Amino acid sequence: MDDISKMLRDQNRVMTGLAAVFATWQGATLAREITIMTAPELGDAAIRLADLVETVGGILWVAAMIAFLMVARRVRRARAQNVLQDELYQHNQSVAMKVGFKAMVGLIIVLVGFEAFFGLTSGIAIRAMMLVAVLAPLTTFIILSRDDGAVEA
Amino acid sequence: MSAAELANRLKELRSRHDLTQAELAAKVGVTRKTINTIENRVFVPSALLALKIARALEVTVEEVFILEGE
Repeated sequence: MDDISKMLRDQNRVMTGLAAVFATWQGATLAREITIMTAPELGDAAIRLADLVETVGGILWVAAMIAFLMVARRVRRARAQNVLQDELYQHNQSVAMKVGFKAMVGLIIVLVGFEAFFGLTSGIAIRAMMLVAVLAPLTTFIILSRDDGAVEA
Repeated sequence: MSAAELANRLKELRSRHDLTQAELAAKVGVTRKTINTIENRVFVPSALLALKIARALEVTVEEVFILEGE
């Protein structure tokens, strides 16, 4: 495997880590908000668990960001930005942003429907939007950028 | 233009020059994945990239890329 492919692989791994950590971190916060609203009888234990996951998620998020910056620095040192951010990268980025936009519109429709029947707190709506706004494009980009190491004859 | 409309002879021309996808990618300044997706007709390159690929393979663009049905 050449250096560029290794950097691409590492970049994708770090982005996958970022997406997973963000989902855990913000997912825990959203779960706590939903628990408080829909099942307050679950009490302090559930909220404390969500707090714990949120704290660990926050710490892991910082670690993942440091890993991301380290990969970015390695790419910069190798002067490989132009190669890594080539036409396919830009195409995938554009597709990911379009998917993110559509997911946000879909989420807003769902939230409006929920609000009409059950009532929603702004905290839940904001957390849900944060999750979708970050995860939909990021996940799409990761899937599109996956290098399956296809055989080249 | 969809990728289905644009056929190519990348694999054949690479073999003729004894180049792997990674080697061609390095010559053109893109990732191996980009060459792979062009070769497999998943991604349509810009005119600029098509010209760079043709130059790296020492042929004209028309010899690398063919409009389907022609």
